[in-house]
Amino acid sequence: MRKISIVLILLFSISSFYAFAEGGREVQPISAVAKVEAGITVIDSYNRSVTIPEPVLRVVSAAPSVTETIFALGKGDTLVGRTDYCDYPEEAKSIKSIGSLQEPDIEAIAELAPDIVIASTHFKKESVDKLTALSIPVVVLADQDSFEGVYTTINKIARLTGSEDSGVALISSMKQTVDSVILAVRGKKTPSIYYVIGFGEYGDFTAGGDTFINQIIEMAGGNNIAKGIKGWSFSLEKIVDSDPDILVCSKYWNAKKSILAANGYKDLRAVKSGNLFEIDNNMLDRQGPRLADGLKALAEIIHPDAF
Amino acid sequence: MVFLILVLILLSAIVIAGSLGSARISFPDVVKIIASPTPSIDDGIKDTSRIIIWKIRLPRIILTVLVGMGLGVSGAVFQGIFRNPMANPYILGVSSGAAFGVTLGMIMGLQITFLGIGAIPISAFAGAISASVVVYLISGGGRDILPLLLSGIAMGFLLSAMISLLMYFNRSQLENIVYWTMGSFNAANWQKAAITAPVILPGSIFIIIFARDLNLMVLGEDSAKSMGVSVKKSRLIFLLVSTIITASAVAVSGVIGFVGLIVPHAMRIITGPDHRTLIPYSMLGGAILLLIADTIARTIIAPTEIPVGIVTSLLGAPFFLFLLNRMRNPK
Amino acid sequence: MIDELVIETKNLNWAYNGIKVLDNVSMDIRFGTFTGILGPNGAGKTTLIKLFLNLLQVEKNSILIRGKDIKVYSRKELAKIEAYVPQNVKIDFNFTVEQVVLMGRTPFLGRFDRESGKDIQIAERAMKETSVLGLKSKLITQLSGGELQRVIIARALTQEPIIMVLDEPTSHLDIHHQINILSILRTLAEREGLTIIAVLHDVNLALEYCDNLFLLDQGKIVNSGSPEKVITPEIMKDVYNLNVKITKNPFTGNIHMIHDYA
Repeated sequence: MRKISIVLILLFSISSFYAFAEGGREVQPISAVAKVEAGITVIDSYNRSVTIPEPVLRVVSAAPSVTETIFALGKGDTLVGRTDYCDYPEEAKSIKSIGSLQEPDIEAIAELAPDIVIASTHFKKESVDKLTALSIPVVVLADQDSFEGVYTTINKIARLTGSEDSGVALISSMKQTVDSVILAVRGKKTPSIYYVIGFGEYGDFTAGGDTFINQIIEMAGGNNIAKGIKGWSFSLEKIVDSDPDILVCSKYWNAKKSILAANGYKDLRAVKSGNLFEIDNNMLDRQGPRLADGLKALAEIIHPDAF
Repeated sequence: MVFLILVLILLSAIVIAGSLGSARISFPDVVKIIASPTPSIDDGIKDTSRIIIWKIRLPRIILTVLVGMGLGVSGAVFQGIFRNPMANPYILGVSSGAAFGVTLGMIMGLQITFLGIGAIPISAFAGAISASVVVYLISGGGRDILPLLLSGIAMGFLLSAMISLLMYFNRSQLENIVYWTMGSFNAANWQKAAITAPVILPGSIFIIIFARDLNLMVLGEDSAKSMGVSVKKSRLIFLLVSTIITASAVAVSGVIGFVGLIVPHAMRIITGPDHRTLIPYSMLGGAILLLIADTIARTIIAPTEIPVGIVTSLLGAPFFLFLLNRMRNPK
Repeated sequence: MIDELVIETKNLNWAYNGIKVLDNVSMDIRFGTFTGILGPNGAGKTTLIKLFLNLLQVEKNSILIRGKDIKVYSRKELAKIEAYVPQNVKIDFNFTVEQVVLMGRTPFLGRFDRESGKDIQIAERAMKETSVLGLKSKLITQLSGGELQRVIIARALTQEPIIMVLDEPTSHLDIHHQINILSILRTLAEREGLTIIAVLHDVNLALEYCDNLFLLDQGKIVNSGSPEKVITPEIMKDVYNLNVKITKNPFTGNIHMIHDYA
C-alpha cells in the first residue's frame, strides 16, 4: 500500500509540475484565416500564411540579406535588431545584435519587442517555434535560386515593412542592371572561370552546376569549369586540368594572398598571368539589393572590355 | 621472400595510383611525365598534366605512403608495448591532442608558417606532442604500462570535452574542425612530404633496430630485464619515437583511424610475433593500405573527395569481423 | 670456480612503501650448489630473489655477485651471469618454442647482430637438456604447464649463466614433472657447476634436491644450512605451526618430512 502511494504522489507531482511549466506559456495559434482583422499577410518559406498587424514599426532582421534589403527600401530606421554578420550598410553596425544566424538569442529578440522577425534559410525551425510561442511573428524567407525568386523575396519584405513603392523601384533598378549586363556580354566569347569558395586544408570548394552562383557566372558571360558537378566539392586536379582562364576569389580573409601561395593554385596559368581577381562575395552570397551589383562586378572581371 | 612481394606491391600501387585521379591522364603519359620532370619540346604532354602529376598527385602519393608507414610502425609498437591487440597509435593522446591544437589554432586564427608548413599542421603537431608529454608525466614517467594507458584515456576524454566546448562556442568553425579530424590528404604538397620523411623514415628504422628488445619485453618485464634489456630505457625510446612519428603523421593528414590498428594484425598473420619482421612488414602494409584507401577516396566519386579516414574505417570494420571469425574458428 | 662465493648478502634490508619486507638477511651461496629458499607465504622469498637479479633496487654493497657489488654490473653483464626462471609464465604471443629459447642469447648479441649458428646450437643443446627439442617448432601458446616451464628453463640455460634463479619452478606441475625438472637442475649443478637458487614450496622436494636451505619467515632468516639442520620439528612447529617427524626416504636415503594433518 505504501509503495503505491509513493508512486501516485510521484506521478501527481510530476504531472502538476509539467502543467505549471506549460501553463505559464500561452501558445498562440497562427491562422490568417481565423482572424479577419486588418494586417499584412505573407506566405513564408514554411508555407505558413503569416499575418502581421499594421503598422510594422519594429523589425528584427535575422539575416544580412534581409538587413541590406530593409535599408535599401529606406526602412532602416525600423530595424531594432540584426545579426552579428549584418555589416552593410555601415549604419547597420550600430543596431543591437541578436547573435548569429543559426543560434539567435531568443531572449534578446524578445526583449526588443519586435513587431516581426524576418529570417532567412539558416534560421532553425526551433527558433521559429520558440518565437511563435512567445507570440512574436516570424517570417522565414529562404534563399532562392533565381533573380526572379530574389525579387519575390524583396517584394515580400517591402510589403511587410509597408514600403511597396520602394520595393518596386528597387527591383526595377536591379532588373535594369541585370539586363544591361546581359546585353553587354552577349555574343562575346566566354572565358573559362573558376570561382573559389574554399581551398586548402579543408578541401576545394566551388559553385557546382546546380547552384545559383553558377547561373550568375553564366549570366555574367563566363564558363564555369565546375558546371558539370552538382554541389560544392571539387578537386585540385580537376581545377588544374581544366586550366581556367580566370580565377575569382573573395576579397576577404586574405584569400588572394593565400591562393597565390597555395600548392597547385599557384601554378595555374590564370594565377601566374595575373588573372586571379577578388570580388566582394557578400554581394553574391547575400540575396539582397546588391545581388545585381555582384553580377555586374563579376561581369566586369570576366569582360573588362565590355564596360 | 614475402617482403619483396610486398615491396613490389607497394611500387605497383604507387604507379597505379599515379595514373588515377579526377584528371584523366593516360598511363603512358604518366610514365613519360615521371621519367622526365623537365618538359622537352614537342613531347605532346600538356603543361597542366605535368603540374597535376608533379605538384598534386606525386607529393600526395609520397605523403600517403609516408604516413601509412608511420602509422603501421607505431601501431605495431604500441600493440607490443601495451601487450594489447587493441592498442593503436592514438591511445596516448596524440589524436585528441592534435585535434585540440587544431581547434585552438583555428579559433585563434593563427597565421604562422614554418618551412612552408601552415598553421594547421603546426598546431596539430604542437597539440599532439604536448598532450603526449602530459600523459607521460602524469602517469609517473612510464614506469608502468597501466598508468600510461589510463592517463591516455583520461587525456582523451578531457580533450574531447574541451574540443566540444570550443566547437560549441565557435559554430562557424565546426565544419572545418570536423572535416580535418576525419583525415584527408587533400592538402598534400612537397613541403609536407619533405618535413615528414626525415621523421618517419629514420624513426622507423630506429625502431626496427631496437625491435628485438620488444620481443623480450612482451614476454614480461622481469624476464626481459633478466636477459639484459633496459626496459625503462627501451620503453621510453619506443614511446618517444612512435609518438613523434604519429604526431607528424597526424599533423599533415588529420586523424586517420584503423590503419595503425589493423595493419599489425594483418601482418602478424604472415610474420608471427617477432617484431624484427613484424615492424618492417607493418611499415609496408600500412603504406599499401593507406595508398589504396586514399586512391579510392579521391577517385570513387571524383571530383568530390571522401575524407580518407572514412574509407579506412569502412575497410577496417569488415577486416575486424574477419579477424574475429578467425579467432573463433582457428584452423 | 669451486667454493667461490657466488652470491653474498650482508645485512640486507629492504622495505616497500614503508613496510619492512626483508630484515637483516645475510646469506652466502657457493659455486655449484643447489640452494633452496623456503618459507611461508609472504615471507619475502620472491622479493629476495628479485633482489639477487637486480629486478628490485637494493642499497650499495648489500649484495655481492662474484665479489662485486651488484649495482656495479650493467644489465647486460649481469644477464651473462645470472638467468631467471619466473613463476607462472603466461605468454599471449604465439612465438615458437625455438624463438623463445633463442631469446636467452640476447645478452651476447650486439645491437645489430642476428643469432648465429653457434647461438642456435646452444639453444638446441639447452632444449635437449630439458627434453623440449621435439617441440621446437610448436607455438608456446599450445604448450602444457610442464612443457612451458621446461622451455623457460631451456631459455635460461641458453644464457649460459653461472647462476640460475628459479621462483617456484614446480608449483603447477604434476609430481612426474616436478621430479623431472628438479633432477635436470640437480644434474646441471653437479655436472656443469651451475649454481642454482630456487624458491620451493614443497619441503620434501627441497630436502631431496638441495645442498643448502634457507628458511625465511617474515623477512628474517630463521635458519640456514644443510637440510637436516634447517628442517627440524621445532622449527616447523614454530614457523608453520605444523607437527612433523623427520625420517629417511627409503628410496633415496635423503631425509624426509612427514607431518600431521591436524
